[in-house]
Amino acid sequence: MSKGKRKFWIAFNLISVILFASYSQIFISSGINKGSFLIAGVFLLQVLLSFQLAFWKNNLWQLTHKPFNQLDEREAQVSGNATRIAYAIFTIFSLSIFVILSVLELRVSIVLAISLIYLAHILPACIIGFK
Amino acid sequence: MSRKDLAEKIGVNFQTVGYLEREEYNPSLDLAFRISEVFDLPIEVIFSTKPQKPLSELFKNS
Repeated sequence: MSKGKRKFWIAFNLISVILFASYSQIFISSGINKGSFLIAGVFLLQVLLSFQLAFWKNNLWQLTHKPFNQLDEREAQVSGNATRIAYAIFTIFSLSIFVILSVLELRVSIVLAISLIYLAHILPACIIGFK
Repeated sequence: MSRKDLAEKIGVNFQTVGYLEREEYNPSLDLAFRISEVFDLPIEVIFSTKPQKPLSELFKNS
C-alpha cells in the first residue's frame, strides 16, 4: 500500500472512532432509538473496516504489539519512540475529555471508555504510519 | 544475496535491511560488526561518514 493511501486510511479510522464515540456519547445521553442505533452501527463498521486497511494490512498493529524481545533494534527504536509520543498525546486528550465531561456534569459511557482503550492501542501505530 | 537472506543472517527484519540500504537508519555497532562478518569485509568498507564509490567501481579500477 502506498504511503498516501496508508495515511488516508489511518486518518479515516481515527475520524471514524471519534465520530462513533461522540455520537454514541450523545445519543446514549439523550435516549436510544432505532435510527441512532443504526447510525452508530455504521460508524462502528467504518472503524472495523478501516482498521483492517490502516493497521492490519500494513503490519503496523503487529509491529506495535509484538513482544519487545522479538523486535530487531530498528523496530524497537521506532516502536519505543512512537509509544512515547502516543503516551503524551493520549494522556492530554483523555484528561481533556474527562475535564469537559465533569464540567458538563455528564457521565462517561461504556462506548467512550472502549473507544479510549482502542485509541490507546492504535495511537503508536498511527504515529509510525504517519511518518 | 537477497534482502531476506541478509536479514536472516544478521538477525533483523528484512525491512530493516532496506532502511540500512537507503541510509534511513544507522545500525548499532553490534549490528554493523555482524554485517561486516557476513560480507567478510572491514566495517569501514561498508559504512562511512563520507560518500563512497560502489565496490564494483573500486575493483574495476584496481
